[in-house]
Amino acid sequence: MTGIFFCTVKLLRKDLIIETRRAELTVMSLMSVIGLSIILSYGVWLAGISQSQKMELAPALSLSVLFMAALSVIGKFSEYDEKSGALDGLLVAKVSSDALYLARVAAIFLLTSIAAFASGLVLPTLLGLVPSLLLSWHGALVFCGVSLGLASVGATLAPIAVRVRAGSIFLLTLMLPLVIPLFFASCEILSGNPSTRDFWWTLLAALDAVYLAAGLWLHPHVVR
Amino acid sequence: MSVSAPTSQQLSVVNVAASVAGHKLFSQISFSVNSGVVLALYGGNGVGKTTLLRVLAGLHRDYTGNFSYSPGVTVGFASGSVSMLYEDLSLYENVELVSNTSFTPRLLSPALCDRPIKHFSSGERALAAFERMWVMQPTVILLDEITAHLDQKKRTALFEAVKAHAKRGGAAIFVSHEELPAYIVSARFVLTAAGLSGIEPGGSLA
Repeated sequence: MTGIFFCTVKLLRKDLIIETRRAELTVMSLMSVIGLSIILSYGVWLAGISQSQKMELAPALSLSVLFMAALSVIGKFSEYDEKSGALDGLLVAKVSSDALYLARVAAIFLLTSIAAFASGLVLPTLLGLVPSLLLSWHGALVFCGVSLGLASVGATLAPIAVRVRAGSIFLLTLMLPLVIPLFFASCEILSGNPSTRDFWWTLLAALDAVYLAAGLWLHPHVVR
Repeated sequence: MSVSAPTSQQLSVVNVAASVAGHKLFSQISFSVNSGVVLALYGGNGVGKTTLLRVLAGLHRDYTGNFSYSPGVTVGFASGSVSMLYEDLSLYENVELVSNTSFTPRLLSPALCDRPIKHFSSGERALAAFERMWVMQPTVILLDEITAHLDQKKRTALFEAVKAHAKRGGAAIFVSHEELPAYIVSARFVLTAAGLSGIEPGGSLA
């Protein structure tokens, strides 16, 4: 267990060092967040929606931006692994598959969290609202829950997608049915009926747990 | 093919045939490798030499037949064409990912090992792949066109390292397009679509 933990930390550190040097995925996700936020806020402005309606819509719009930004970059980690056969190098060296998976989940989680923070900040600001989601504990927790779910699913499916033609479309097709429940649950928590909020919290936590456990189980088969 | 060496068997391959994308590369082949042996595997382009090594390294699953390593045997794989290293990391950082032991390069200069792999030449990448494999201290080493981009001095140093490895009881399989020097090779064979052939003294078909 300790071995897997240290191995996971080493692999996560590797992903962070590479991202620090390339700054590719962070920039891509932030550009996606900004671009999508501008388009959505322009659409809201064109629709002439009132301030109170904007406040109701803001969480769902922020989450939409987060999902799209995350989906656009999740596969890139695996593309990089495939380049030069770096993942094969780790597999030949008998690096733990669990550690590989957990490190990748952690790396995607961190990247998605940055996108979540940006989407919680940029879109409400463009809509002329206070970015209240970032200031409330349950808003931050929902973003964490969503990021974890996206990371778990993405880390499982991305290694498959990089080996097929039109991999990014394939990844999107595989991921959508799995991440849509996350989207609904998080939207309901943030702007749905308060009396049903417990149910949606439970669903979000259960989905995260199931996706993470399934990913741990499937990953050794997927990477080979 | 079984290699006639008076030492213990490290690898046994029985009726292995491999395919890539549904295309069958070679017929069922069988051979075994004992400790102290260095095999040279030749063959034309596309017959499946690299695929055979990838099967033996556990990286290619589209095969039939069986192969097994003796208990305690560890496997290393290094390629001259695909470094299997993270290009934005240095060799030291790449080694750190797979080993906790201190690393002293044997064939590359320590100063070079601090630079990202993406700045390496083709020959340096091949040596970096070899160094990273070497640090794991594998028993059986699988080398795919590892000498293709090396100058004569580096090539000799690599051959010496492999020879010393075999003398210590390890084993190696070289895949190559060029004739390897006789002083390190125990047996040579040619892979064709029909199977293995052309064994010279030091080995025989099973």
